[in-house]
Amino acid sequence: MRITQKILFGNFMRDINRNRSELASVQSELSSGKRVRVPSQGPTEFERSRIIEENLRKEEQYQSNINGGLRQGRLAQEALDETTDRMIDIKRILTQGANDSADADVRTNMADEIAGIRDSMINTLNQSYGDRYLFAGTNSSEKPFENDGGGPGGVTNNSNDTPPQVNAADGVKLDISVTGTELRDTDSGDLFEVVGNIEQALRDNDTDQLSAMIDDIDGLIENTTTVTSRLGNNINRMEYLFEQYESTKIAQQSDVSEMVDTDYAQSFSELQRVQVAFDSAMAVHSTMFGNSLLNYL
Amino acid sequence: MKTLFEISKSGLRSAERSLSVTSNNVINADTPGYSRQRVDKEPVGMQMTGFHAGLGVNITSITRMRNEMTDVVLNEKRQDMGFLKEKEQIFDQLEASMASDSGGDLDMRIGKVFDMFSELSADPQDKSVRNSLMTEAEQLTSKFADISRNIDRTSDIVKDNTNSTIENINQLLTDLDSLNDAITQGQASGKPDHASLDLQVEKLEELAGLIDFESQVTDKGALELRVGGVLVLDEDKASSIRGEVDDVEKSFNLRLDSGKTIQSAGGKLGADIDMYENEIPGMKERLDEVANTLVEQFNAVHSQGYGLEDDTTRNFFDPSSTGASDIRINDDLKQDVGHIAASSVAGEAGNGDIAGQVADLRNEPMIGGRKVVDYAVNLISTPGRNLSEIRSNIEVRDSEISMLNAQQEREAGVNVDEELSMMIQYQNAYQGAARVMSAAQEMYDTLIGIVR
Repeated sequence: MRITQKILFGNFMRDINRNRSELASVQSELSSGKRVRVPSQGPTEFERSRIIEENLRKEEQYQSNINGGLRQGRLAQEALDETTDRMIDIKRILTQGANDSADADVRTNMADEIAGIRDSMINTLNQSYGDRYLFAGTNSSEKPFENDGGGPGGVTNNSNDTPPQVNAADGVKLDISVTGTELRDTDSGDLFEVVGNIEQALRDNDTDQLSAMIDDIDGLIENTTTVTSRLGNNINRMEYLFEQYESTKIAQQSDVSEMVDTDYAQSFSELQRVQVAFDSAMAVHSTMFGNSLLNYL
Repeated sequence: MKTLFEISKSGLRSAERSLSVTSNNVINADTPGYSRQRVDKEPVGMQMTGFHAGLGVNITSITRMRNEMTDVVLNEKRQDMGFLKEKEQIFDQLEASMASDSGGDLDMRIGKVFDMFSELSADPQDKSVRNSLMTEAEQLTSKFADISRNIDRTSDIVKDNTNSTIENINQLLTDLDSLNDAITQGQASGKPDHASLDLQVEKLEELAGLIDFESQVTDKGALELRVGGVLVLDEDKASSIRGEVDDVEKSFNLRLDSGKTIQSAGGKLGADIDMYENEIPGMKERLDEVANTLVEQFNAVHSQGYGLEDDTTRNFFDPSSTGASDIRINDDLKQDVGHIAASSVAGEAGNGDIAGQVADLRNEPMIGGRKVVDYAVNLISTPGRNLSEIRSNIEVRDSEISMLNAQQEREAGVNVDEELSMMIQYQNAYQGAARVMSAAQEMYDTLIGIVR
């Protein structure tokens, strides 16, 4: 078989070019830490990793929503706990007031105390997070309760009955607070109306009425603890979802990494292999090109 | 005895001729298209009374060593290679304009807008969330415009490429036409014009990278070329090709000066035309589809809701846009982010229903049966997927071509060592012939000495 200089040189150039391009790709893998940087380096891996990344992005957003929801939910929970405490205070005063040992003056003092407690309850329930009132339902740009003499018990209700929600998962919306409306609407009647009636009965020095109202205040307490525990359930659920996202995040990130990141052990051994091939190609060809009859003529 | 001079003279001439052919081979060892030449010789003799006498050597011809069939196959592969290489280059550009390794591609931009709507649904009253949403949405629209512009630019570059390729092809056809004249004249006179034939090989090789053709050699030795079955070069003349572009319909026709149209499906030109007519507009169409779908779907939900400021319903995107190049956000919203609709009920600042519904659109199979982000990922990986397929095809073609090249090189290539050894051989032959002549001279001198 005739082998011409051109064949030798052509093969040499081809081999060297191939080695160089392999070297370049190993270099890019090692220096960037990524095996698939653009789609052409692995169309399927690129596409799948980007789709997983979209899912990750979505879940991170859910986590951020949940974080915001948790902050508001916990604030609301605290406010509700405080409200329950206040009601227990009212119940204590009421029980003392219903006792025959108290006289009209004491009851008037008690009535003043209850009015103070009511005001502080209103303050607590007007709690806001940023510019958002927690117990106003979705009408959260307005103070839910105003002690202005309107509405039952002299307290106006600006809350609606749709609780604020966050998107916590695909198609899952969780309430992050309770509405003022459901808080007020108890089996014993309107919350502030009941409190107002107690105050009035104390002022009226009406012990029969006061005794009858102990059940009412129990009803208020029960309603508040019910909505509090419902909110507590949602908070637990948000915490659980958050943790779940955290653990699937790790799994998904490692999926992405497996698809597009460099396997260093493999790339380094690849580098060694290509390096040896490159060196030997250089060495063998520089020897080959010295072989010529010209040297002997 | 006089024949001694004739014999040595023929030997000298043959050695000299052979040496000059070998020298030419050595000198042209590296010339593209060159085929090595060999001197064909035969002994000369005549019938004398009683015996047959040798009368030296005769050069019958100088043969050009080349396998024409290999050339034909090689040129077919080269047409394919030219086609693939050009596509590789264009897809490479398209990939660079659609996908990057730094993120921030179309898929991420769309995802971020959904994220911000999700955030808004959780916190509909917060102005800063609304501002961030607007920023993300504007980045998305400018990404669309950016990609669209890049695709248009690539299309323009391809169009310009096509025209310069056609100029090259026309030049090569003219060259081949004048080579045809020299070759047919040489053949007619019985002295083949090897230099022109070698040049023809080189020109054909160049042409094969640019356009697909079938070649044929006529009885007179002229080369005939057909593109898509239509004759573009014959014994007498070369046609010239003209490109007819319709920039709106994205069509590219090739017309000969005779008025006939031809179809090119190979070589650089074939690739350029295919990219210009099909691939690039196809890509643009899919991009527009994504933009239009987003406009439609976002507006359908957004226009059901209310912003913070009033009870007017508004679109999110300007519905008058026609595609990716001019997608833009409703000006009202840009002027006041409070107009972004998060609430399903007018006046409820804490209601994030509508924003939540927009965020949920990311899970809807809204385009080609796929989620919009998945579709966008697929779209931006399309040039890369083609590129990786083309690159593996190129590798296959490249090894085929190098194999065929080696095959042709075995026949037509110059081995310098071989030629050098022949050079020594011919030098020796020359010296031998000269020796014969000087011996004959001495013999004559002896004879003349007797007479004196």
